[in-house]
Amino acid sequence: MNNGILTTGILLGALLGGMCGMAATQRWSYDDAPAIIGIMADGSGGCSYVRWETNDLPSAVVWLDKNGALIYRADLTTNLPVTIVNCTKKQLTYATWQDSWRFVQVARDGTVTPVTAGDQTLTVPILAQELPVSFTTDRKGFFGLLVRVPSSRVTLIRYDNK
Amino acid sequence: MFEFLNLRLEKCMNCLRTSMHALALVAVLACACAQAATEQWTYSGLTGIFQIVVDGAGGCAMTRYAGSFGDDSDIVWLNKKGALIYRAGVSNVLHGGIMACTPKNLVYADMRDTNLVVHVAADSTATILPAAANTLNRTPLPYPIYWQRMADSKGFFAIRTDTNTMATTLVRYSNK
Repeated sequence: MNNGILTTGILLGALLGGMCGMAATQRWSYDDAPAIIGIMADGSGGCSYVRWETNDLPSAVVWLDKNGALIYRADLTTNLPVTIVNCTKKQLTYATWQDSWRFVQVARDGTVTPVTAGDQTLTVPILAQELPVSFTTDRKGFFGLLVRVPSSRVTLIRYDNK
Repeated sequence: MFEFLNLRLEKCMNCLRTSMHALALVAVLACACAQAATEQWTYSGLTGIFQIVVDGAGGCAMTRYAGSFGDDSDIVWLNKKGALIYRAGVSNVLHGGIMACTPKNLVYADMRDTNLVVHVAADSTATILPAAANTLNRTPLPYPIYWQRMADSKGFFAIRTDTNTMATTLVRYSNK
């Protein structure tokens, strides 16, 4: 009898262990864009990214919180490069070209403040201008892209590691 | 007895005043902290910065080309105060790149005579990682190593260009 209970307990434990060992779980999704590049995780479950419109032109900078709610969106009027420099849960810094490179910092309440350098200009490294890199992970999960068929439009997906 | 109580009361009032001052100071500091990005330090004299990889603690390493694109280039490693830890030539920024950077280690690849992977310690000692006979050390990725990271949890880097002289300066900003 005791052995039976023990065996049942072990099996139940193994089953629960197996369930806990299941793969990544989708938490939320956002957007339906022609393309998404330059994802930068904020380290707390949120992220920012560059949303491309048609013809591969950057069209918007999007910043989401850990629940997938929009904190900030900047629709750009330029088709020249935009680079996300830094993203934390409290602020977003990005650089874009409008006559010259411009850095702006966005607070959590959406307040936009230029990062100024007197009469000098601020730029990002050449590599960052040409090839934005994505940082898609934090300690609890990661971001992926769902590509829809046949439209090829893209949705950002937040996954937990388990 | 009353003198003793008065003394205690006066001490309490002094503590209260000190606390109020401290609270006011905290409030002022909090306002100051709410300001936008603040310049912390700069490092001048580097043109053609190609790749920046932060060390996660306020410093960074970078590759840059000194002359024409593709010519002889440098790798430069700075600590969190903007002081130089290490500087060396790399064949060019397309053939060499930063693999990893922490406050204590820098790892980069280059192709001078052959494929090289170099480890640099915080005392600036550079060690070319030995490869076994008839083998070559190289990065897990085919070179060039195209990745970069300009920010850590407390701040970020930008390149300031003087539009009159075109002189460039690396600038470290804190987020607030």
